[in-house]
Amino acid sequence: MPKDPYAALGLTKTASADEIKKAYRRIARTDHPDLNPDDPLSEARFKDAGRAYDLLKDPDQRRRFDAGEIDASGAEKAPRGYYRDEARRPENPYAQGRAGGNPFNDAFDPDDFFASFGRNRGGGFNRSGFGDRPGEDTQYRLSVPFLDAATGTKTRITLPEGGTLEVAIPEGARDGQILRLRGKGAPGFGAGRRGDAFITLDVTPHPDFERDGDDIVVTLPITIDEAILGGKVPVRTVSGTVNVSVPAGASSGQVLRLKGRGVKGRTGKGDQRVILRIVSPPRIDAALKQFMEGWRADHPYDPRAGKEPV
Amino acid sequence: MTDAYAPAQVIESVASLTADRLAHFERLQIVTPMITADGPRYRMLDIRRITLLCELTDDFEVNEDALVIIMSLLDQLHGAQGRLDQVMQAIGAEPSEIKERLLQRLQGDGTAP
Repeated sequence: MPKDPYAALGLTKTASADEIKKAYRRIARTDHPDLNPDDPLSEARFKDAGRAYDLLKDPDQRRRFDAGEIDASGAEKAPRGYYRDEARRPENPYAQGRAGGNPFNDAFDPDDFFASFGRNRGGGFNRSGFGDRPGEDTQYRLSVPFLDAATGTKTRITLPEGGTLEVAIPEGARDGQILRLRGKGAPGFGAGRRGDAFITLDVTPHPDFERDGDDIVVTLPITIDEAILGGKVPVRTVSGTVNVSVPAGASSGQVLRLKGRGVKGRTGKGDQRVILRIVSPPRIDAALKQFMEGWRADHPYDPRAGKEPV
Repeated sequence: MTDAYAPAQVIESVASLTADRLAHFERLQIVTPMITADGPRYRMLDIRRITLLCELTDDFEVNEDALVIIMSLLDQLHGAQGRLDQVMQAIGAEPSEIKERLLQRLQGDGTAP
C-alpha cells in the first residue's frame, strides 16, 4: 500500500503547489541519490518523496488524486535507475575524460607516480599571462568496430558541432581508451594555445571474436571426424583466415593457441586462443549409428571418471 | 555496444526532454553521445545522466552555469571514487603484511611505523 503522498512530503492536503515543490526540493537536496552518491541509504529515503512529487506536481493529476479518481499507486513506475549506478563503473567516459585520462594506464615510474597521484587533477587553469588562456579541451566519444580497433585504422569523424577531425585509431586500441589530439580542442583566448580534443573509444563487440587482454578468443566448431582424426581447419583471425591444426582425438573445450595472432599490446602481440567445440552431424544416419553401437560394445570409456558423486 | 539508443529513443524515454534541450546539453558538453556511422548514439549511462540533468533543471531550477559546475564536480567525484576502488582492489591483492602496514599508515600520522 503506497504511502499518502502528502505525508511523504511532510505536508497536508491544503499545501500549495509552491509548498509541494519546496518540500520536495528540501528532501531531494539531502536525499537525491545522484546528489549523494556515497550514501547507499539515500535512495530508499528519496523514493517516497520522488513518487509523491511526481504525482502532486501536475495540477491535473493532483486534482484527480484529491477527488479519489486515482490512488497514489497511479504514480507507480517501473523502478528507475540512477546515474550514479552507471557512473561508478570504471568505464564511465565522463569521469575519465574530464580527469585527463586514467593515471593507471599511462606508462609511469612507480616512485614518481605515487608522489604525484592526487596532484594534476585540477585541470585546465594554467594561465600563461593576463588575458591569454588556452582554449577549452573538448570531449568526444567514438564508436569503433572491433576489427578496426584490433588492427588500427584512420578515420575521419564529423563533430556534433560541425567540422571534421582526422583520428588515427592505434593498433590494439582498447575499449575505453582515450586518445588525445593536441591542439584540436576549442581555440585559445588571446595568445593562448588551442585546447586538446579527448576522444574516448567505444569498441563495438564482435559476434565471433572476444578480447581478453591482448589475446583474442574464438570458438571453433569442428565435426566429429575432425575431432577424431585431426586435420587442418580454417579459422578466422583479426588479420584474415588461417589454418589451424586440430590434433587427432581433440575434445570440446580444448584450447589451441595461435602465437602472435592476437592484438598488439604493450609487450608485443597477444595470441589467438581457439576453443574447440565438437558439433554432431545434423542427421545421424544408419551407418553412423551402427558403427557407434558396434564400437561402444568393444571400447567403453568413461570421460566422467572421478566427477560423479560416490 | 550492447545498448545504443538513437536520439528519438532518448527523447521518448525521458519525459521532459526535447530535441532542443538535448542539443543544448550537448553544446554545453555535459552530454557527449557516441559518434557512430549512423549518427549519435546514447547509452543507458547517458540516458540516466540526461534524466538527472532534466531534474536539476526542472525541479531545482539550476541555471546553465551551475549545471555545468555541478556535473563537473560530480564527474570528478565519480572519477576519484573509481580510482579509489582500483587502488583498494590493488591493495586487496597484496600480501597481508603489506596490507597491515598500509592500514597502520592510514590510521597513524602518515609516518612509517
